[in-house]
Amino acid sequence: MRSETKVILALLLLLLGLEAAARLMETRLSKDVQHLRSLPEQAQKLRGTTHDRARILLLGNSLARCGVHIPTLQAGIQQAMEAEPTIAVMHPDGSKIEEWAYGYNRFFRDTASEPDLILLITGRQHLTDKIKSIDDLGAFYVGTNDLPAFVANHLHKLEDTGWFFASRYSALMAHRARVEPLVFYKFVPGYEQTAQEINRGIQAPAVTPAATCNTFSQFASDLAKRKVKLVVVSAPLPEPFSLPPEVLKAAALSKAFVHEAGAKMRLPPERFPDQYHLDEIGADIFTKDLLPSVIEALKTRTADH
Amino acid sequence: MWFNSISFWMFFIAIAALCVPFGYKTQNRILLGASYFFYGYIDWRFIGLIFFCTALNFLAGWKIGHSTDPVARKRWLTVAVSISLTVLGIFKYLGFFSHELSRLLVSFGVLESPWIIHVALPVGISFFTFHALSYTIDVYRGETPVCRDLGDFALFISFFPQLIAGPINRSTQLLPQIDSPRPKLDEERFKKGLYLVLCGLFMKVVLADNMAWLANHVFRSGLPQQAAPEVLLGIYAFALQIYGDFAGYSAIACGTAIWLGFDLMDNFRRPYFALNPRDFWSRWHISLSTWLRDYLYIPLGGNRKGPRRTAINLFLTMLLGGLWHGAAWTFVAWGAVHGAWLVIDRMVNHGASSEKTTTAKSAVHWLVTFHIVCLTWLLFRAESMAQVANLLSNLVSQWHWTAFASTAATLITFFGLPWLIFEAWLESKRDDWALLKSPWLVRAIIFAALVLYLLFFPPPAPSEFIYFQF
Repeated sequence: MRSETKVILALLLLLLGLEAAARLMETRLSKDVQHLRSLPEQAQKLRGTTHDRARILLLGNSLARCGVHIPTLQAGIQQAMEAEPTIAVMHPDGSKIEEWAYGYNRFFRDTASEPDLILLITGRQHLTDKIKSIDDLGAFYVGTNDLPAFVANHLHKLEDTGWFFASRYSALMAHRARVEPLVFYKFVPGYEQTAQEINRGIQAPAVTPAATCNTFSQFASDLAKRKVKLVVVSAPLPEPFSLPPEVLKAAALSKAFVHEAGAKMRLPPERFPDQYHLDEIGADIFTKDLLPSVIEALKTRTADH
Repeated sequence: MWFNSISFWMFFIAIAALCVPFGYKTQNRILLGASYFFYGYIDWRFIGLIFFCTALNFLAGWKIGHSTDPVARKRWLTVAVSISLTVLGIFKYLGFFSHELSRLLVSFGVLESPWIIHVALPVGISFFTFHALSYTIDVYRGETPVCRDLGDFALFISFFPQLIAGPINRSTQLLPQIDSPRPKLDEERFKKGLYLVLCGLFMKVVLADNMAWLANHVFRSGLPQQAAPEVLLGIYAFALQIYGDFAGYSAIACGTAIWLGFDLMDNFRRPYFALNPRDFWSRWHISLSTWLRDYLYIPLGGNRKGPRRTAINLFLTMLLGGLWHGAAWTFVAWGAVHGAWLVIDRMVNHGASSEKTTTAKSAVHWLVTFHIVCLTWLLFRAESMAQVANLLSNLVSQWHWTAFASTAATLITFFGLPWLIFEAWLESKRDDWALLKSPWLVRAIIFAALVLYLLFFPPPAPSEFIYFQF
């Protein structure tokens, strides 16, 4: 065999080995992958609940995971509705509206596991249009039913199409972006602080383009058509913020409930140990604050029925 | 359609496959069409400009080659050189020089406010202009025959692997290859192409773009005062970024050209192992430094008119070389510093024998050369002379360690050190192709490492090739 053929075969073997390893060990790579792979179970939880109990889906990212205290939410709803609710969660790290909308459709809508109410926890820019990772959408979120529409609406560049399908069909490509943070956060001194410092500089463009929220608008309107109540809650952050007007307009058009804790709640800095996420006490305070909106939405749904 | 994009590789595979069944004449037409498509895909507005530059120099070359009258020959050379340089000047320097002139007039009270003229810069204009000029000058000097086919000449100017950022190939090297049957893509050529493409992709995607993340932060204006280690590491990061970016581009250009049957000029030869400025310029952007030597330094008199004139010629050549890179005082200063350094080195080391150099002495020379080169990168990268002054002042006064410095030092080691070790090994072998002569397993291991880096350590944000703006 020619020597260069051996070199190429060795490289192919390496890639195949990595693909196999990624498929076998993906859930050990990160808690986030574990969570993503557990979404069918979350859907099953809702599907298996009888209609006399409220079915709630907590949707968001780490702001939802750290910010909403599930036992407080559960107890509050049980007390108000006189029945224990079923709460499923979908809060992958770093996700935003594109992941939430397509992920919801794939794991909940398309498997007939829709909840009565979606509690959507968002930060400042999570509901405006901007695809963060085409790879992740291809690998984890866009289901077969949404694929033609996604291709038509979002895959206008050959580059994006290539990465989308590579991640969809290869575990190695889907998970490759998880390796660098794993290594760097663990072994590079000061990396977290430096990354935050650099990204703060990069993410401050002189002119902010006008925000659109077409994905959120479509998502909210689809939910309204299928009579799933939507409660949009802005999470409290160290710096107060308001949701973009376009988001509020789209929410109003779809008759979604909006709870702007991000603008109104003032929590002391010690409630944000990493300067972004709430600690457990903060989560309890925030959950109690949003409970009335959730209960009101649930009661409206009961009245509609 | 950058070299590190999926679209480029699909384009390249399609063109390479299309060429296979045809003879070299048809291949030339396919490659010419592909090259114009490639340029048009990046910026269709200036396709006409490339064609104009091509037609002008083709005509001038034709007229020069077919005339025996020295006056007419000189006239055509002057016309081609003047028009080409005027076009380059308008697109590249008009905005800068008119702004600087108007600022001067403002200071004398002649104008109320400075002019701001925005002229869109055609991608790769400096490269294809120099490309074309080298042909016309070579025909005038009788060093290359007249090209009789406009299509072949247009391909020489626009051949897509080298169109945007070089290497600046000479007519003497590339035109004969265009006008003759291509060598077969045998194992040897495939192997060379693969090696260059893989190394080029690593240098651009992994080394350059990851270093850009650090360097851009240090060179971002409006930041609070930076610590000296941050500035120093930012400069090191930029040194690796610009090397990875440009040498990576050149390696991919040479690799893809080899697969298409062409041998382009080497553009880099481990420049950070240079022991003095002459050595550095014989390893860095070789196609530009030899162009400047042959078409500027030597016509100015080179070293034939005494030490004083040699020094002036060297300095002037480097000054113009700096200006070639861009219309800004920082580039002029960068060229001037390199010019002055070459002059001083020539004065100090003129006639010194290199045989006496010991390892320790070489190490000192290397260390000094590397750091002077790095300091000149500060001029090259800075957004203004004020920023240069600010960073230099921080470099000497703000000595305290920071989290950014820890991260930058670790990442520079992680990304840069393995590559520099590999280059040190090549340097010890004094052979650019040493890896291809080693056992296949060694090659497989090194290629695997490059692939793993490419897969798992992509940059936080991909950057454009720096030299595209030149």
